Amino acid sequence: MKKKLMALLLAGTMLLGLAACSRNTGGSQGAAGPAQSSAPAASEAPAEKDASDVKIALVCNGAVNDGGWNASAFEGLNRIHDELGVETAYSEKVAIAEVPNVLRTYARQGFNLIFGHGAEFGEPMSTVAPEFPDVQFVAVNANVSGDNLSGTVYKFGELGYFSGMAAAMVSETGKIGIIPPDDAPNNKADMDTFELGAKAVDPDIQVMSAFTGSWDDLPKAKECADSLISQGCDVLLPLGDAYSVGVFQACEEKGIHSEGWVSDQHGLSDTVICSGIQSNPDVYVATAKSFLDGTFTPGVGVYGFENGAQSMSEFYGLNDDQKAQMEAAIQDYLDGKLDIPTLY
Amino acid sequence: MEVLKIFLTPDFWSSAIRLMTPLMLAALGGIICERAGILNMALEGQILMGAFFAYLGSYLTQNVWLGLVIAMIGSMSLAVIHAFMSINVKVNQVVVALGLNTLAIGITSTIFRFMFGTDSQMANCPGFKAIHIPGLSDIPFIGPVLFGQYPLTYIALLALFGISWFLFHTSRGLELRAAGENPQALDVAGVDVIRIRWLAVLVTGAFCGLAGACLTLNGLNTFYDNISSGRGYIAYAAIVFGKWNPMGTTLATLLFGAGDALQLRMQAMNFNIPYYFYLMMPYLITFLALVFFMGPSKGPAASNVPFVKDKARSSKRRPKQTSGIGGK
Amino acid sequence: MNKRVRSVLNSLISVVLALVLAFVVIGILLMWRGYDPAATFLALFKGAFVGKSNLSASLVLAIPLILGGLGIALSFRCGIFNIGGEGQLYLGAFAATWLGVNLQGLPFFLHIPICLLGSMLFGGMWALIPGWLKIKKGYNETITSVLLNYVGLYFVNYTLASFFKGEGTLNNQSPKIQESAMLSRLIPGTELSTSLYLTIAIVILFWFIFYKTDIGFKLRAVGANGEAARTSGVNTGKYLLIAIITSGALSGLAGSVQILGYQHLLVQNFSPNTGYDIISVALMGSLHPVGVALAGFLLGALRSGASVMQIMMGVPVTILYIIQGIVILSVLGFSYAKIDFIGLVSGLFSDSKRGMEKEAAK
Repeated sequence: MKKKLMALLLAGTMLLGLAACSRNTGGSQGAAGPAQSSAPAASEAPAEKDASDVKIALVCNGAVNDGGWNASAFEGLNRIHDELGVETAYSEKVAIAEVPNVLRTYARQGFNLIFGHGAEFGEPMSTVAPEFPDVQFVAVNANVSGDNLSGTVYKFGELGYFSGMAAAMVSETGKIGIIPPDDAPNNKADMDTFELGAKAVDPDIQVMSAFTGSWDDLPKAKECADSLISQGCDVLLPLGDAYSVGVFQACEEKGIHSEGWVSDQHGLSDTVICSGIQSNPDVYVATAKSFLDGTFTPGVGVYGFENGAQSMSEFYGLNDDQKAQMEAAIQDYLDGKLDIPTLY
Repeated sequence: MEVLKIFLTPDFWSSAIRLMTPLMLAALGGIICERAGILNMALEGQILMGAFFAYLGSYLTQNVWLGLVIAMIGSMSLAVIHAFMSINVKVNQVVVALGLNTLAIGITSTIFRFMFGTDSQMANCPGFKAIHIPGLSDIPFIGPVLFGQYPLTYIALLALFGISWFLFHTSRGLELRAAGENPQALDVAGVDVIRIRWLAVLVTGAFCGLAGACLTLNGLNTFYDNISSGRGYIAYAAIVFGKWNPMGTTLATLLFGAGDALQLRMQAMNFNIPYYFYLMMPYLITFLALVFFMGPSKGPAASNVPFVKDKARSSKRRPKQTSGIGGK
Repeated sequence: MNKRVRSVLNSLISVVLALVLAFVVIGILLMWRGYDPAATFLALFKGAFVGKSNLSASLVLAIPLILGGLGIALSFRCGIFNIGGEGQLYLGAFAATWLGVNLQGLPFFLHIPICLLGSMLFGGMWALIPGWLKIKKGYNETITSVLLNYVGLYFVNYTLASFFKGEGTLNNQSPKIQESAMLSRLIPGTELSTSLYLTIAIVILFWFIFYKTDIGFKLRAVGANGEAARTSGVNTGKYLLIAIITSGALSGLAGSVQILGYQHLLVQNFSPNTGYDIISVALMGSLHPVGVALAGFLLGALRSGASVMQIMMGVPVTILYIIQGIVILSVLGFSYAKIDFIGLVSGLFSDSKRGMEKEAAK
């Protein structure tokens, strides 16, 4: 008797499932359009939120102890926790297949602001966001937007330009090198302006590049650095995440200069003459602050020199003349007298 | 033609040797195991264990040589499981190795997080310094290539000669090879096959520990999740490529190291080739060389065949994949 | 008790024991670092099975593992150690995405099958290379397939950075596939798609062909004893080739169902390590289709549970690999050592018939 009942139940569920099988993909996606009119009413009420009602989560693709890209997000999250007194949580090493469920779990756990740290979060977030109209989703470094979905992008290219200038100033061989992980558009922008900036200082300078093909292969980065050095480069800029250390070590061994990326990496190696700072923590804290005081509006936020999210560190390895030259260039850029072809 | 000039620079060759050292150590170790009749696909996991424990040991003791010892112990602990499973329990040797590789990823990245937390910014450990052998390292070209390397490279060279001599010129080496070719005959001659195989697997583990230490202690001085990134599989390919011969295997790892060094230099020369093809190059070169120049190779006859005492007649037959060798 | 039921029960018990062993090891590790093991495991369990959303997330992760695992199981059963799943999976996903993006104006009932078949074709072709080299030339397939993994992976990454790159994206990813190529969702608000039915159908089909047809019989014969099969007139080369191509095709499918099912576009490294995880699944499932399906579900559930556990407890997800490793090794160990748990248990209660059977079985 029981067996028969089970069989019936199973058959029933199969049938239901098959019925659900009929095409309805359009439905969930089409809903995003018309829903626009009703959703903002809920999310745009400019009420200040109490810190104890807010929970903020961070989802990363990589490891949060990578000393680079993901670590900067983690630092931002920790600063939100310490400075704003908000409850925070994070997930690291989340593969793309797991992202949607992780996002939903956070949303259901009552997290109101969820950061995804990287462009690859744009797509899954635009799927999940419509399901949770009360939760704000922010994909860092992604060009996405929606009712409760925002992206943040940097003005890619600014840092490359000034790093290139500084590199050209200290180079004696007339050859400088750049070590990006891959040729994604943001890296490409910085690579292009790196060359432009260098040529602005020394028109004859030669710029070489070697890709590591990975965001975290330290040994590979070191070999890339060695190979560029053997081609005569005497200033290297690692454009990556976790592998800067590998490049710095090669530079230390050969006694040449290097530049830092994302954070001020002078502390990691004395060879670092200056660093291009992309302050992810600042972006995180600023976003969380505006979320708390009710001024947050969904959309694509562009961060660069003008709002302080990108900047150059102190110029450790430059003489006073060169420092002055750099600062003048940065001022010109801020005043709109210098044009840098940035992405966004 | 620019490319050909690369081969004339000492820097290229020293870089090739540096890149081949971990592969060479792991592959040489692997030969011992393979020759004794244990197919070892677990090199990858053992290298990873070695890399992590080298870092951990060197960090905790602040002594790089103690770190090396701890690296060997770390990867030998994985080898113990490997030996027990494949020799005593007689599990298929390919599949047990794949399980071990997964376990190694888990152990290393979990303990790494537990020990160093998530906010430590890459605590550095003491590492090796390149040794410039006085006099010899001043010889043009050969000097920087051969005599300005890290200590582990010299150890690898010693291992090459040591293992060649041991395998082909000692009676113990003969026994070891017999364990892989015809264990039944060896058993009849009164030699303990099980013991030989156990020792071989453990020695392989020790070598993989050294190989792993190359990755973390040769100037890098830090660890990262899954730092071995497939080098164990390449080392295994090198063993087959080199036809289970130490010299041939070393040349195979040199081919791979040179391929890697070449692609890095070609990238720096700004040819208009997408860089993904450079990354592919070492693997593609190895694959093509294997297929077009080497021809198929046959390993030791009893490789991947568990040894069962008193079953002399069935030594040639491979076991069923599902159930191993039949019960008594 | 009949022999078959007994062996199934034995496998189940060995998986349970393996899990217990894994949890004991993890529990000790957790206590060492001051986590609460009971709460952690509860979070893992809830995250894997409790609630519509969690359960479907587990299924979503399980589907590619099951499909790929079946392929690996087939090739291992036939004595071909195809470790090239990673490359085959990426090429399959590439083919499906390319067809999904570039074929326009097709109705879904044509578009979806074309994409799926395309992925199977690409995966199968990529597996054919090591297969052909082994069967015709005698090259060791483990090595060639591992080397080809990297070649395939870098090739796909290259396409995503060049001619197959979507416009206006910061990372290297393909354009979105046409709507007609998307599988429909089974449960709104989850990623679970009709690929679930496809997977169930393939498991059943696989079981039927492998155990109930002539081809299946010959495949099994070749795997069990190639020498004997050849002397009895079976064209072993042909069946080995069938095995490895099917294995590659299923790996390719494991890639394409993720794209057509919910990712809808191809991102570089979209499915890290899956090509190796499917080997784990095949082994945990004792190379039997039903076993593979259960093992795939178990691993998918563990994976999905672990990411929820990380959210709730702050325990690193990497412990998952320890669990996975211990489970694979113990299941293998139990099955090769031929430990008869039923016999052991009943032997404890009565030293009569069962105990003697156990002795006899030894």
